[in-house]
Amino acid sequence: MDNDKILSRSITQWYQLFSPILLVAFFGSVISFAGSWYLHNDIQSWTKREFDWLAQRRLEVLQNGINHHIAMVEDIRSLFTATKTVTDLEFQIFVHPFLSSHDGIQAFEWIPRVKAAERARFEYDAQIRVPNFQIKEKSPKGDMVPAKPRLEYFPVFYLEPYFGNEAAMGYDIASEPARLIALNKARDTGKLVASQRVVLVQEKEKKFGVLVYFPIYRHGAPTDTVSQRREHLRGFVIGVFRVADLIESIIESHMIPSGVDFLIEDKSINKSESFLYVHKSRADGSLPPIFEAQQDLAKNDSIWRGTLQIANRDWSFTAAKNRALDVQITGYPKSPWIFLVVGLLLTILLVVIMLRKKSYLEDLEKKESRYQKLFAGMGSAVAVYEAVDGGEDFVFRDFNPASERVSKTKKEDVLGRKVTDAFPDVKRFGIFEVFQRVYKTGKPERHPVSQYNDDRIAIWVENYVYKLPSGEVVAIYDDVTTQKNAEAALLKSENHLRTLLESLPQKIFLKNTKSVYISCNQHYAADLGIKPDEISGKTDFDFHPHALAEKYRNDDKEIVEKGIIKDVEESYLHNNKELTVQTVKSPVRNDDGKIIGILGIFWDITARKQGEESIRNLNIELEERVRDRTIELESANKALESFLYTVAHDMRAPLRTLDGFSSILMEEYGDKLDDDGINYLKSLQDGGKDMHRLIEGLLALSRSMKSKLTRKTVDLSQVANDVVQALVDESDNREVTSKITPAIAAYGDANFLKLLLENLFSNAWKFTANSTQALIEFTSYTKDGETVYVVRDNGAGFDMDHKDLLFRPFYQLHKPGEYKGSGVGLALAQRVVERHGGQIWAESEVGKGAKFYFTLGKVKES
Amino acid sequence: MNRRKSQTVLLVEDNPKDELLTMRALKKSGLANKVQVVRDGAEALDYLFAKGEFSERDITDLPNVVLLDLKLPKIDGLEVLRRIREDDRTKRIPVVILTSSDETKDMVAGYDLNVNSFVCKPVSFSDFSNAISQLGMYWLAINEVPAEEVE
Repeated sequence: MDNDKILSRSITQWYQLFSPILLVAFFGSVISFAGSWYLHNDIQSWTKREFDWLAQRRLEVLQNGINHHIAMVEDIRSLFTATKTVTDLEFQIFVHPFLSSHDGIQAFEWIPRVKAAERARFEYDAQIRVPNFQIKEKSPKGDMVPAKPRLEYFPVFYLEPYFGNEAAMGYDIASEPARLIALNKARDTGKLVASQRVVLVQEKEKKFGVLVYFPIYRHGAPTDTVSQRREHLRGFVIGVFRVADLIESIIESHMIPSGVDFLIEDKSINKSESFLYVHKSRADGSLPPIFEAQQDLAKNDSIWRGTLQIANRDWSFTAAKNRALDVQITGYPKSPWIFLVVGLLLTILLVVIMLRKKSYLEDLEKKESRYQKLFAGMGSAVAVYEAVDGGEDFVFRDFNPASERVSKTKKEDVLGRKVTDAFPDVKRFGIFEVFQRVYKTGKPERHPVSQYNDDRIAIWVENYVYKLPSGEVVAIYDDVTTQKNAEAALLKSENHLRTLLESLPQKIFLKNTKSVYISCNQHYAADLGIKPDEISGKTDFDFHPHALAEKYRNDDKEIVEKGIIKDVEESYLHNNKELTVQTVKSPVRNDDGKIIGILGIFWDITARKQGEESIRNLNIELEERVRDRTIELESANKALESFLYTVAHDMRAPLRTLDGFSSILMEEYGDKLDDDGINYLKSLQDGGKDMHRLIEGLLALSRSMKSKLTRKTVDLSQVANDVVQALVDESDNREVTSKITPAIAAYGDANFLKLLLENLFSNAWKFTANSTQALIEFTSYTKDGETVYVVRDNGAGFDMDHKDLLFRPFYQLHKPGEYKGSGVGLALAQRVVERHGGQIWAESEVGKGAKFYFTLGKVKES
Repeated sequence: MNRRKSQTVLLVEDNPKDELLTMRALKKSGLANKVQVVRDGAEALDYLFAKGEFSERDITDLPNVVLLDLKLPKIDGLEVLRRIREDDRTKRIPVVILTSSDETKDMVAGYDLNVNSFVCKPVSFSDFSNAISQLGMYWLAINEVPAEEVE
């Protein structure tokens, strides 16, 4: 596997392992951010709504308050409208209740229309009520000075409250352009008109005021047109309001909660002169920054705008949220942040918990897998049981492979089964009580090596039983059958070995690699004249002649160096007698194969060596003797052979001479002999013929022993027929019946077999000469896998007492002349059969014919 | 066709009785006057190679057939045969072994030395007479030999 694959796999695995955690981290963060964002927005919008509502409330309150104040001005106008002439006192009495209950009013004034012509009279009349009354105006320096001559004047004439406003008494409203505009507008429209902001003449602080004009026309005079209204104008009722006082008095009277700052500006005038009032919430003394950067107002959603109506003049109302308001509305304005932080913290916590859990699970999984591997792989068998019937019996819950192996039982065959059911011998075995005890007491127990035995298995096991916290009982057991058997075998073999070593006639010793003796058996110790345990630490030089010890040590060295087994015959001196011993020394190795010593065993072979020596000598002698005898025999054989040859050949010549000359004698001198002479001559010839037969037999016998045997398959029936035919041809009209079983096969030498049958048949032929209805049979049968051939006749037979003499050459059972024969026929037959490895025998009874049996050996035809 | 100078049979036979019987048989066949008898192997060779006793003899006058016994004094029959076959002058002479032996060994040795015929002397006198007379008739009357000019 290459690195890319490892990497990609590890990435995939990593992804699989951590994806839930990543998801949690991701969604936790997203929810935290989204939630806090939503909360923030919610708070924002809620705050906005609350703020808007508050601002609107404030606007409404202000509008109501203003209306109320304006209404007072209207009430005063009604006074003037109702009465032709309103005195100073009347005005004072009428206005007073308003003033006493309304702090927002600076003053109420009556401003009559004074035409230029009437000025002096007016000033004069006025001085009755107000000393030093003059119609005044404000000089450019700001001082109050008598008004310059104009067409008409509108001087402050009734003024309540007087104190605090006395500076305004006599001030010509028309002298100042801002006031004049509103004045003219009120006169022309006949309606209530508010002035733009003005600085009140009686003002000592730099605060703005607003004048509310109400035109008063002459009683009964028409006021339908502007000109009519201009002509019939009597004067104005004026309400003087310091804007700040007005607003503040309204606010205070309504106890409106703080938190909303607002700005009031005059809409119908240019920006530089529009500012009227700014209200700073009591919660915060500083001016809201938005009013300082009014160009941003449009963008600011914290701004609420409205319009205040004051005597047909529009004031803009711009409310801004005071910082304190958020707190006031939401209680705690940082909650989105808290939500975010808490959310993130929770996410982190969750991730950490998941990581912990994951690692815990992995750990658990690892432990579980480790346990499973351990369980499956351990060499000891483990079975887990659950107690049933209150600890009376136990049911298999787990069974590891070693268990399967040891108990030769499949896991699936025992799981869920009772132990008494699965292993019937468990009670006798003794473990069952242990289970019960361990289950009751919770104390682990060891059950010693015992044999478990049922129909299926017979094993030696050793058990360790303990209880799990879960209540399950565990049995760990080891199959010690092999060990047990091995131990028994070992014990036996060890005893055997020890006995063997001690009872062995051989001498046995153990040496270390330095040729120092470690131990030896009793026999060797006895040889050395010591006790077996005395040999330890000694060397060969302590016991043996130097030269021998040297030789032994050199052999030891060779064994240690080459790691070979050395089997030698060597000298050994015992009781000053030199013996020959056979010594086998082999290296002894430890478990690592390192040579740690030499094990030697030797035994006395002196007698054997001597025996071998004499046997060798005997053999040599014997061979010599055999050779001599063979030579003798060979020369004897040769002598016999040449003797036979000589006899056979050299005897034929005299026979021929005998026959030849007797025949010539008979032929040429027969007429000169009498009957007796001729008979004598015939006897002479007969004797020659007998002699000739003997010689031919002798030759045949000699050849039968010398000639080579060549086997092949021969049809013996055919040979028998030929032989019988030849006998018939030679004979002088004998009546002989022959029964020859056809197709009798034999495996042998054709010439010899013919010779054999010739002799047997001619024998039968000969001995049936005196039988009436002579019969000769040739048959065969099988016995023990061997073919037995039979030549049977119904002739004279023989006495079974003489059967051993039958096959002896030149030995005839019958009297000479009774049956003619060479005397070697059956001897020849026997030679032929024996040379084939077969046997020949005969059965007979005198006068009842004879049976000749022969076999030709069990040679397989090839 | 040239005939040999004389029609002769050389009979090599040491046994006088056999010689007598043989001669009688030949005589009965009318062949007796043409038989030269020698009584051992050496004499036979002397005759054939015109030496010793026969040194006066014309060596080219070869017999028509040699009837040779095997068991002979001085030089035995097989040796005589070998010498006959060795010599260019005598190698074509028909030789018939006439012996008492019927041993295979003897027959093989004879034929190996290119004997022309091997006849075992029958013990029975009638058989013997018969055989000898047939032999004489065959080798003298029927068998042909090349003329000496051939050499």
